[in-house]
Amino acid sequence: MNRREACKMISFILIFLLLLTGVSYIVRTNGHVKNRFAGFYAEEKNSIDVLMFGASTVGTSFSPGYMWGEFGFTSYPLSSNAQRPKAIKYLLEEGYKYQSPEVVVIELRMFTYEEEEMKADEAHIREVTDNMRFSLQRLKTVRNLTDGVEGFEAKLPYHFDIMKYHSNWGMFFLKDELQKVAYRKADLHKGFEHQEQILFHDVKQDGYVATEERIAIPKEQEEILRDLLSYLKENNQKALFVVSPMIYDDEYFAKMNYIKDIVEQEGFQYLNMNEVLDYNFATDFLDGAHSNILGAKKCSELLGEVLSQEYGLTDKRDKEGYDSWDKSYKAFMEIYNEVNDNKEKYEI
Amino acid sequence: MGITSFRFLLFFAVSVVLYYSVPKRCQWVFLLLISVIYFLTSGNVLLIMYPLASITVTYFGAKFIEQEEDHKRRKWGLSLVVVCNLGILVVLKYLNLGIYTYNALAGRLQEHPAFLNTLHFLIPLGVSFYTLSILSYVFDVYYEIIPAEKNWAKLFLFGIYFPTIISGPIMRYKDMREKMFSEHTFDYKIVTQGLQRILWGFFKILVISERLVIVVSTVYNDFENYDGLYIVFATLCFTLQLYSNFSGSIDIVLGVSQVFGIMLPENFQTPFFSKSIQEFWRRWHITLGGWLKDYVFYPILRTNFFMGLPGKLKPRFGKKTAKKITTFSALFILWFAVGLWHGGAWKYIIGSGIIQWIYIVGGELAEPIWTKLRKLFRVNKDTKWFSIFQMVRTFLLMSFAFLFFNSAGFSTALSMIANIFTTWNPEALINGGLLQLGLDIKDWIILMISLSVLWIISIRQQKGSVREWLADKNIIFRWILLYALLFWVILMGSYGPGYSAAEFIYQGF
Repeated sequence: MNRREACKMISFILIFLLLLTGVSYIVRTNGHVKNRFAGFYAEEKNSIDVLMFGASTVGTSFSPGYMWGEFGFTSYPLSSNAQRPKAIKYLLEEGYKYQSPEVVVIELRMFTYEEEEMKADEAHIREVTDNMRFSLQRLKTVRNLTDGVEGFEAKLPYHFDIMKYHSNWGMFFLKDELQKVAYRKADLHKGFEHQEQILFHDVKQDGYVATEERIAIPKEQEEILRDLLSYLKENNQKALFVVSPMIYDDEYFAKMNYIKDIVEQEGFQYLNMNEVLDYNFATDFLDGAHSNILGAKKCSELLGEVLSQEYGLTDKRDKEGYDSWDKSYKAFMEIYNEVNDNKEKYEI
Repeated sequence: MGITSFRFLLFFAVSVVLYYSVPKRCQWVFLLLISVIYFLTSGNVLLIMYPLASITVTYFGAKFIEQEEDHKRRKWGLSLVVVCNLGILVVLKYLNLGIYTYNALAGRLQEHPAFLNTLHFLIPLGVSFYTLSILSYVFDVYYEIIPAEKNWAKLFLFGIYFPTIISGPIMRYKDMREKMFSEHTFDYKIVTQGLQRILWGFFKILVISERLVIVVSTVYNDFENYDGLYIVFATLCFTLQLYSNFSGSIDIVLGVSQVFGIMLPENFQTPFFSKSIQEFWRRWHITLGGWLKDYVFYPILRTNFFMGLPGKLKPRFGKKTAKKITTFSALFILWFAVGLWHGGAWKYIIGSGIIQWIYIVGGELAEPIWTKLRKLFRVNKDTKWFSIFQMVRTFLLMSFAFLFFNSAGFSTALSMIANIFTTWNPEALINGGLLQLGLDIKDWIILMISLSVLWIISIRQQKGSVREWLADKNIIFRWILLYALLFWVILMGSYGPGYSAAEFIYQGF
């Protein structure tokens, strides 16, 4: 093989890999999480003040657009449904490649779940791995999150997700998905998943009953939490651990108390929103576990206040280059006002 | 390690890199090493004892035959090798056929039949392929066409060469000796054309065959609930599935071997363009047909019995008919062997063997009637339309035979045929029922486009090598076409989680 032929062969392979990457991104299943991650990659480098991690509640409770509009800092959720706590460290490492956040916010809900259950939860593991851009960090994340997957052949489709999604070629007919060819597409809502429906709950208005009890979380989760805390300390990373509103039993909140002790012992702040938020459990929920846009405004208000007051985030609203954030705030308020003014219409 | 699996592709890619990195004189040793690894990782490791035993017996047998001058002893030597090799094959693949047949007869003929238990053996990968390949070697040594191989390891590589052990083709040592053991330099054109061939094989298997298998299985696995046209339609689909699956796997095998610089014999030559059954078998599984012709059919005709048969029959039937009866009898043995090679069950013997013999013999006997009919209806044999009619006729006749091949058993096949001829349900053509056999409309569109591409390429193949034609085009056109095919396979292929690739139909042989 002469040099010309070698060049041709290498070029062919490189073009193939490039096309394969783009095609893989396009055929990944569309939805909120894909929009959120593609939106994250589209953000300007080192422009995000706060990165948020955790399960679906992060996406539905905290609006970066609203917090920008009210407090003037930028934030972005790298959350996914039932996000395994183990994934947070790897996602944070991914986040560091693009952003230098002042603070990270970690929602604690999933720390109360058993790792064994989550290990076998392909769909939710994939929501993390299948929404990352191809990189060594992704390789590392897949390797670590597929600890419950047996065998080379079974792990392979996690690395090469096109093996799973290749039949999603219908995505090529969706303009929005075609635009994600580089897995970068600005998201108007900055990763926020606005839910308009209101599910009136047959629960007491105050929903949450405080408890002083402590129940240990699963051992593996405690190890993951302690590992995460050490990692944050090593990186001198300021972090806020939050518990978002949720209708749950005493045992759940007793576990949260257990986490609180660990978090505070390590010098980080813990915030159980259930304790301080003026939350209307009858109208602010989508389903008892996720806030609708009315609840999201309250959660974002509280989180924004804590972050801006206690973490010294500067107000950048008068600076140039934040048009997309202004638009995001405006979009949030439009939806919020519409739902707030017509609550009956959105009842389910 | 399935031929379309990622593991296989990885194994192949690493092997190619190492193959062209090792000293050239060691390349064949490296091929032997990876062939052994492939064999060992494709099933029970102990199964390698079978090819080991067969090839060792053949190696020493061939040496004995070469050194021996006494004709009788040479013949004994050959017989011993053949019996050993065929003995293993018969025990592994055909013993149960005998037991089934005995039990069936005993059940009918005896009042209190004593049934025999069937035996279950682990069958080594590619036993039918490597047995025929090494038998061709010993026959050729016996006929003094080639000298006996001095190096046992080389013969062992010939027997278990990893691309061919999957689904053939059946090799001849005289053709492979030079190619397999000579030194190979990385040749860009040969390697890229090999890779293109692999891609084409993947297209046939993953995009076409894996879709057709859904339609076929839907009907064949539940044939009691499908009538008439549904069975006909599924059977036609099976013919296409069998072709795309078998020829696709051969494309991959030939492509893989080509990348190593070793060109293997072709096994297909656009068989559905055949105008007769004879022509079909010259274009379908070519190496099997060639092997049986050279080592079964012609030797049979040369036996004392068949040489003397026309003379014995001549007084009763006349010279011409006596000759025909002799040829037809030898042909019966040939086609019985073809059927038997395909599997140890009567459905194979009937579908791939005896029906083919009936087609050929029947066609020859009926030729005067066809000639008269053509004259009567003034049909011109040399028109394009008549050629198309002949191709369609061949396709339909082969599909009918393949119904036996794919059915659960001989009696099932008969029930399905009875159903075809006793149920009249033309409404299936217009009520969309045929499109509801496991595939949705998107899949049908993909399948139709892919079959059209296959058909167009097959037409182009009549004029010469498509890869050569492609190589002459400018690089942009060429690459666009290759990327299009590559991504068509990646996106439309049936693979990955949620799909379980149907087994290669010929892998079990």
